[in-house]
Amino acid sequence: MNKIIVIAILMGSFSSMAQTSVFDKYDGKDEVTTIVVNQKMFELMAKFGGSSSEAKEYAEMVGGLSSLKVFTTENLALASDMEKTVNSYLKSSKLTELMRINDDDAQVKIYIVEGKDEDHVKELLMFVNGIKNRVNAVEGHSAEAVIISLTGDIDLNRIAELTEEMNISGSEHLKNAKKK
Amino acid sequence: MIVKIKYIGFAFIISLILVSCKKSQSLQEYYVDSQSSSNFIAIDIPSSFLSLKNDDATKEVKATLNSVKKINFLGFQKSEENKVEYAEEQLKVKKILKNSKYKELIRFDNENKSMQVTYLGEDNAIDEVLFFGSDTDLGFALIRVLGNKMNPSKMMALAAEINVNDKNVAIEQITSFLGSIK
Repeated sequence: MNKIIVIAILMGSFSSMAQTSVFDKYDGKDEVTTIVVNQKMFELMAKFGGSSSEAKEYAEMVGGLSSLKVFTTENLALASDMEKTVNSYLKSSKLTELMRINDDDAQVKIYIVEGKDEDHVKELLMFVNGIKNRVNAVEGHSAEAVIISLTGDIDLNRIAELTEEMNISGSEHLKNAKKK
Repeated sequence: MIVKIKYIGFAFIISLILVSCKKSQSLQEYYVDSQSSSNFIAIDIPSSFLSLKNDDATKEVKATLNSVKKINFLGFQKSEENKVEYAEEQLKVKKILKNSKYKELIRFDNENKSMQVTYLGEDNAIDEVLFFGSDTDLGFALIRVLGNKMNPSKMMALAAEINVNDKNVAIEQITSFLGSIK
């Protein structure tokens, strides 16, 4: 009897934690821009799509997503803290590196968890660190660190369309995120 | 002994329930409390004030409009004098939204601006939609759309069709207020 109660309580506390992620500590922090989109919103976006085959495909892609979180900062200390958090998260999770880009503006790393087939992944994590290159940052091009965390049934070939539509900085790198 | 353990377990559960139900200020209470304050603009719009742009709208759109009961608007206009109150009130609202049973759809947050949309009810039968937007230069606004089993995807179609009766000064205020936030 007591065991059941304890288990029930534990289950309750776990299920309420299901939606949280390691990056939630940046949520609402000063100097951090947060964007959170939940599953329900993706479902609505999918329903609202047009009738053309293109729109339908887009709707299908969006409807499969379960959460999107974006954290952006221009603060140097926060950016290095983000990098640490990303690194420790990588150690504790099943994410594997998909690609890495080093260019003049930023260092971009994209990690994934394999999904149902070659084009789909269950989780996608992108970390852009442009702050290290702040010295070289062109005027008007603010140097910043960006974490993009996506979960759900993600179509790698199309995900850039969504992030670009939402105007998320750094999302242009996702265009190249295709498995070979 | 077993009985004792049972009692302890029971007491534990009860206390857990009590803790989770701990009464914090609800949004409704916040609306009522704020309406009398001079910093706020509070307006209730019954759905009869809302009309459709063209009468030949589809039955579906009309039905959706009928599922809306009223719209509550609460705005805080920021000025030089009420900076402190702005920070306090904004924190209060954010706290209420965080602790409430509202389910979050989308949220955007940075130092100067924030926006969030939450709802109450079942997936395809929403009872309440809540918009919260803030801007450090202008103030913040809370808009509650109250209804009965509103269908979210149909609501989006309705939003495009709706025409607010603009003879009303109060509503003009809202539209200009909202326009300035955009």
